[in-house]
Amino acid sequence: MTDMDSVLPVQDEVSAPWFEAATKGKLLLQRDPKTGKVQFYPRGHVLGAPDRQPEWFEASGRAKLHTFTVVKRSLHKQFTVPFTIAIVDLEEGARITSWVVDVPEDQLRCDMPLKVVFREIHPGLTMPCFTKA
Amino acid sequence: MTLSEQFPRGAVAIVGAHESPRRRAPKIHPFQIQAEVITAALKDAGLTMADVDGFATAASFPSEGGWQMNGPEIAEYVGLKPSWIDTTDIGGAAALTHVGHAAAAIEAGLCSVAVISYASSGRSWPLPAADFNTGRTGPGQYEVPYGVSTISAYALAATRYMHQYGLTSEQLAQIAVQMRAYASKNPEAMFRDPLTVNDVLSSPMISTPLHKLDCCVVSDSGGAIVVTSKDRARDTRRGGPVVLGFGEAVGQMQMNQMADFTTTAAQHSGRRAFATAGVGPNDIRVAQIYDSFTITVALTLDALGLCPRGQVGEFIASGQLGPQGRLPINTDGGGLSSNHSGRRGIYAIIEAVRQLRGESPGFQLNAPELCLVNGTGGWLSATSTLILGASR
Repeated sequence: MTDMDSVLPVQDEVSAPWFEAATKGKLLLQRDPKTGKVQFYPRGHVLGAPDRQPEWFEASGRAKLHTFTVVKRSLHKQFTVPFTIAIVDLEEGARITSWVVDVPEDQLRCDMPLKVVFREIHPGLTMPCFTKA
Repeated sequence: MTLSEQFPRGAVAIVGAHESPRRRAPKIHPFQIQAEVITAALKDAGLTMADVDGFATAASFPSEGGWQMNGPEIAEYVGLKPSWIDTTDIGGAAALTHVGHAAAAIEAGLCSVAVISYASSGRSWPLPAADFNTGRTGPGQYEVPYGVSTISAYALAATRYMHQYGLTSEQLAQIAVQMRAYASKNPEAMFRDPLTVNDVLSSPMISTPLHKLDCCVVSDSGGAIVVTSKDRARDTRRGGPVVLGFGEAVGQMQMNQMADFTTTAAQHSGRRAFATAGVGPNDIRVAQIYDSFTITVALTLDALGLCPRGQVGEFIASGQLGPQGRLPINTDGGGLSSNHSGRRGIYAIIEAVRQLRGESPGFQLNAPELCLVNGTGGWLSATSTLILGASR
């Protein structure tokens, strides 16, 4: 089922709507329908309440850069250096892994405001990325 | 029951230890190194294969000869028929966790002499694919496409700790420089030539802020230890340090699940280890701290409370990790300069045993009573902490 050397996602029942939304320029998050608590990454159950199913909603795309690293040496042919891996805190309270794009390295700062953009990061795969707000 | 009542403090001892002198072993299958180090550790203990009824190892990577059911496969290759087996895989911390589990197993009567071993040809039998930490199915499908590798995961923590607490690249480099100074005395260390802070900072940047010389060596090697009850230890050739405290803890696998990038699960495994041993951070004057990267050391010292919270930079800069400092660490040269074939945990335990026996090949302290060992698995994903006490 999985080619060891690919980095493309293997989608499943839970993840398919998330990737489909990203293709259409929407960043989806899950929340607990009872408490409103937001969770990422998507799961088939509410974390801490496994008998409840989460519901999808669209994130605003407003975020802060929690931390980052600029990769200078690639370990895979599918990545061209440099690129900036980021841990991003969305205003809804979820933390996601992404890229910061179109921001020069010397302007990257922890806690800087970001907004979501969508990029085809590998051929045929559009994923949320972030840039300066 | 409290933790200190639950763990069999001082009930088992590490009576044999051997680190392979191999560092580059092309064409040597890791199982061959497993057999070499197990044989040598048993010889050190004055025991034979026939005495062994417990076995623990971790070998899930290709470089470890892993495929599936690696514990039974290595037992078969070596010639062991254990009545207790443990292949708990928490990355580089696995061997420490095996010691804690072996202590419980011996106390429960599941086995009496346990061998804990590890071997990997990380240099000569590399992964067949790039290392993106987890698979691209399930949780990994949201992270792997962005190319988060092991070093990038540690780099994310380094960036945040530096931002929050003012740790500098120079201070991180000083860790690598000190490990090299200890390695220079160890004839078996992989790299022994002196290193300067400038050497580290001018080495190629891999993933900011981590340079090539912020990273551990990649070696082919192995190690083994022999654990038995304190009573049985009296009948062994040399005896050895006792296991006073143990704790293990799980952090995260996907980096988007890491709640605090400035600390590690060692805050929990350490607390458990101190509680079971009945000692505190101030009692520790030598330690073996898993050094996959310089930042691993910095985060761990802070997480274990071995320096004041957020002040690891000053702790390093003031020479506290050096021979005259408050806390010499990785006295054999560590993973940064001596040996790291994939999971350093076993080598860190072996150096703790050597330190408490008074025979470190690097820098030997004057009769230390305690040595703390901390393993960090994966990408700050899981930790295990041991506190060993000299047997006198």
